[in-house]
Amino acid sequence: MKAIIVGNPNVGKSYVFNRLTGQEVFVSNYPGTSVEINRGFLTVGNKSIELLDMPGVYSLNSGTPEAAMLVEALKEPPDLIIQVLDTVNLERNLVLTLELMKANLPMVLLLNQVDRAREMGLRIDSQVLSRELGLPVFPFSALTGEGVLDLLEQLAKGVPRSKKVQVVSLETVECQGCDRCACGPVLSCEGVNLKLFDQARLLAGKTTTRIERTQMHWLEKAQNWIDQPILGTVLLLLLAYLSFVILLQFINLSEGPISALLDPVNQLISEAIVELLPAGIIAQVLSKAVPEGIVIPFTIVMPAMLMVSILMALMEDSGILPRYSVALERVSRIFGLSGQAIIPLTLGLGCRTPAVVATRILPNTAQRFITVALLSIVVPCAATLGIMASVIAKFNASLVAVAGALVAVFLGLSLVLGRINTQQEEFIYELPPLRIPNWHNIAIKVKARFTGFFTEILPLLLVMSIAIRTIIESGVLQLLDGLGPITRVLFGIPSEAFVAVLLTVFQRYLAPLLLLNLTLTPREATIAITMVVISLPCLPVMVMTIRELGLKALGKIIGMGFLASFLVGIALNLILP
Amino acid sequence: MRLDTLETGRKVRVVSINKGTGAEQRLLEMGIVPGVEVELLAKHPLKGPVIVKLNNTRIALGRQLANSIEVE
Repeated sequence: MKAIIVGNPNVGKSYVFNRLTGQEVFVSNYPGTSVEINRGFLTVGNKSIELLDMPGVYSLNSGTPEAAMLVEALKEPPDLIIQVLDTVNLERNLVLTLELMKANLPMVLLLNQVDRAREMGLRIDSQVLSRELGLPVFPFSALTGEGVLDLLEQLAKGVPRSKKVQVVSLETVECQGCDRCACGPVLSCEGVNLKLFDQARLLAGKTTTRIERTQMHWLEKAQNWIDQPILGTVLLLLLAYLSFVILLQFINLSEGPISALLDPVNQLISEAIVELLPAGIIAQVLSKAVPEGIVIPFTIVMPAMLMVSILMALMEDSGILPRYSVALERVSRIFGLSGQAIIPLTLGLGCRTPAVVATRILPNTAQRFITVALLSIVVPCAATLGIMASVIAKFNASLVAVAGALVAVFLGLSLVLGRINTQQEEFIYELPPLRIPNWHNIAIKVKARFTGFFTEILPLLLVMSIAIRTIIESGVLQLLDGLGPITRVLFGIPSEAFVAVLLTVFQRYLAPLLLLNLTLTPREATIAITMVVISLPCLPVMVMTIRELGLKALGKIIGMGFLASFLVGIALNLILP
Repeated sequence: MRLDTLETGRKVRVVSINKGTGAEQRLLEMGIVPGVEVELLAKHPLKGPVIVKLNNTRIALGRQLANSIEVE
């Protein structure tokens, strides 16, 4: 048996999915968190139900890729539709219900976040709705688990089809275009669709009673503050600044204790290697490379990744993240982006791979390309940030110059790219309600994002550390001395440091490893690390870019990356004293 | 009256949505349809977006889009 979970964006579909299947799909508090179908299984009695968690849609006729996915899923009819509704916004959610009912499939409605609705002073009569629609309706809370048992009981019994609606085949739900309106699909054919809205309003009115409340919830007050134009923007910028301070302080503070813990271990490893392996180049390389390959990831990359994942998860779960897109809409507009672009760009500070996927919330391909290019070339991810900080600290490089170069390239690149997005799409975005972050959601995210450190970053850095140490010990770098005059004239850095820049082709945060092993002046280190940070997407991002935007787009991004990196090197070489 | 010309805090009823911005459909599906009541919560300066409250949702709209909504 196959069931699909559908609903408007940000009503809690994935949360319901997790509740029912026991899986740990990412849940956030903003529309557009899930852009792909999640699959899972649920066993009720002797029935095994395959559950598909569909991305959120406002209407079957949206014309968005998500709506197309849903229409596709309905054509191969599932045995059951589970619609998740936001109880607080029944009216709009019921429009989708009425559209879905035309498919005439067994369907249940979950009035999710019913606990929040009660807090807001709404009383919901699910019986009335159930009677009117001829469908089973359950007050539900994925957070508290309310309604789960009732749903399971119903699933065990089986769900009947509603007898209340005329059967209309799916073909007529899809748009045939009409000449009555300029905007095409059924939604705008007033005669057809506004009727659905009236019907939904009527139903919502019958189902909901509002009880007068004497007090405003403090979260609503906070929301009113943060949604104010000037005060809110100031608050948001302060919060962003505070997050960066926390991040840097955390890296600073954690380095001491972590090194103290690791030092004896490394001593031991180093001695063991010398002891166990026959003396020679291999022992020499490994006894240096392995401890290095462990210290750097643990002291630099790990704290950065951990703190960034915690901060990002808090922003996502509280509903604060999308507020940035409103506050910065004016600014992003200058660069040919709509406010939503702030979301993937901020996510990129954590890890750029999921950020590339998150660009799907943008309205058109041109904007997606601009955002992915900015992510790939300029936005430093947590791992990059950590390793950048270590290079700056070790060589006493200029943070101001590095940060300034990043900002300058970001502005320059987005201004140039902004021109390709000739069609300015109008900004429209539903702001999620603020809520207290749910620690379980935070834990799931931090865990998932942080395990990447152990499964990907640590092994890679270890292997690369050995490779780099081998290169250094073998004397291959001396062969590149011929390049020295050229790199010195162009970028003011020695040829070895330029090798690090070229290494970014493999993995950006590996390149600085090589830098750490060189002797560089502060000026050289500043230029080299800036060229490394402004360069190319890492391998996982490249793969994701091909998947999302195609090989051609990636080619352009790589070309621009090299160009940006070289130009910045030349510029800094000219500017820096 | 256009939505973007209102003062913050006003509650109004949507009369019609002018075509031409290319986003009418998205407005409609978010529930901004003729007949509903919306409250203008905030107007960002420098022709920034506006935030409207519709039932219990908050929706941010670009200024131009807000200008395409006729209210009374």
